[in-house]
Amino acid sequence: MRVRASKISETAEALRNPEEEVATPAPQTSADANALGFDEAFMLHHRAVYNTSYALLRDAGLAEDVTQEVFLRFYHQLNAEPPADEFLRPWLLRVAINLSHNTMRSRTRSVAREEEFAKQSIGTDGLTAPLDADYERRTEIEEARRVLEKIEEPMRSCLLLKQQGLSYREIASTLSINETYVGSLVARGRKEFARVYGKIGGRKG
Amino acid sequence: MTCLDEGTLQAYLDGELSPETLNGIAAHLAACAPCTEAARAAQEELALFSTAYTPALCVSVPTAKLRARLDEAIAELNTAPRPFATQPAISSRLRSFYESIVASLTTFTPRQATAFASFLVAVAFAVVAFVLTGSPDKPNASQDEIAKVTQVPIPAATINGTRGDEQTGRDQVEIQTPGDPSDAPVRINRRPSTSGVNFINASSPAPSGVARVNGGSANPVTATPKSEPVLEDEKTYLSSIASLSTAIEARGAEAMTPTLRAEYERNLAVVNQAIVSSRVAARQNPQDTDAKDFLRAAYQNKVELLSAIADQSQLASSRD
Repeated sequence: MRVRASKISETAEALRNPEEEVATPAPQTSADANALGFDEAFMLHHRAVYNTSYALLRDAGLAEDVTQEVFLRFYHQLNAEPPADEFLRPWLLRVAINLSHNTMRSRTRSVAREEEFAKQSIGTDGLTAPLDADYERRTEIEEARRVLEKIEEPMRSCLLLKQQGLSYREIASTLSINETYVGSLVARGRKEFARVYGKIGGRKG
Repeated sequence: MTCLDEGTLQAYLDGELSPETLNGIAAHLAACAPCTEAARAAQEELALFSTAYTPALCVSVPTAKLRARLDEAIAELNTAPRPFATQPAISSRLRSFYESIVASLTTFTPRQATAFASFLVAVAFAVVAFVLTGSPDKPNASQDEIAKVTQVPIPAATINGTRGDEQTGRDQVEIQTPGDPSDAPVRINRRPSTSGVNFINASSPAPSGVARVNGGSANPVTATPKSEPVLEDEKTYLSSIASLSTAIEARGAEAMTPTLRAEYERNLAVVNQAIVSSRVAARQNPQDTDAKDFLRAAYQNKVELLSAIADQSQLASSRD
């Protein structure tokens, strides 16, 4: 049990403090690997990569940058040792998650001052209340995103990847954890989400 | 069979178990009330997460844009000369230049050393001669300039806190008035707009665009705001009003029927008059909370009026 806990905490630490220069993970290849071409890989997985980056960064421009970088790395990897089909999506998402965490960290440093200044100049947050009818819906979505941000790694990534339809095996491969831990991480993540969501939104979890 | 741990239960609910394990767990759940209750709670939490978070994942993916960007980046990769190919050449050239200098400096012959020493002696003599021939009575140019500067009266400063073209960091200008020692230095804090975005609305009547000036009233710099906020949240109201007015002008000026427009202008005039009169009252009696409440209500009325008009004009423009 102690070994299991330490492994999970190692993963959490790695996700919280990724290397500044993201190392492209070594691809998992199999003997009968039939690697997809670049175009097929892009068509199949760019949505998952973009959605994952967007979920973490909450900025369309940055998510585009991350998606481009992920597929450029895959392009380079194609000439070296392309990942096997079954590990391709986890490979791409792992690069996307690491790049997003690095981007988030640098953005936090550079943008915090500007945001603070904007708040002071304008007076309060959300002054320009939008007039569109989707305001309430968008507020709820923002709320759900904020709640997910409060969940610790690797539970947060487990929930995010599971919601995108990844299997336990793919989640384990993406996050470099043992597949047998994924169930309990998802369970802990959804419990925490329900608890915080109930607290913030005043809803019963 | 012992009760299920949360990981197994979650894997069961997610359909991640093998068929053999699945049958055993289904049988256990049918017989064990606490596990059934735990499964029900887990399903509820999963449904909550799914309902709340799925819309957040439904973002439109810019497939075409991403593909175009990637194609461009890959084309650049394939055509551009590799930067790493020229890097070693430059560095090796620099290194060889440095090494040649070091080599020429460290390999002194006795004759070169004598010549260098005599050159140093000649330079030293020249410096001493220059210092001795210089007149000690000649006034120092830099001191003279300083004296001139101290006599120049400081012109009245014009402060514009809303300039958006300032690229420097936060400026702190300090103006010292030498003729009047009683005056404290005037500090003007100007905050620049960041990233090319002017957060301060120059056309807004809000006093947020006015530079902060701290100093005595006798100072030549008199940029005190004409109208200081009477309410703590007055800036909020003014910003809301400004944004609503902009939205109405941008979207609904043409969409408004003449009747609606006339009514809007009449009501706006009434509300504006109420704001002016209650503001005067609140300013004359700063301690009067009722006056402030009236002013707040007047602002609220204006915000509501503008919101209603904006909604109507939006509706009208969407119908067209």
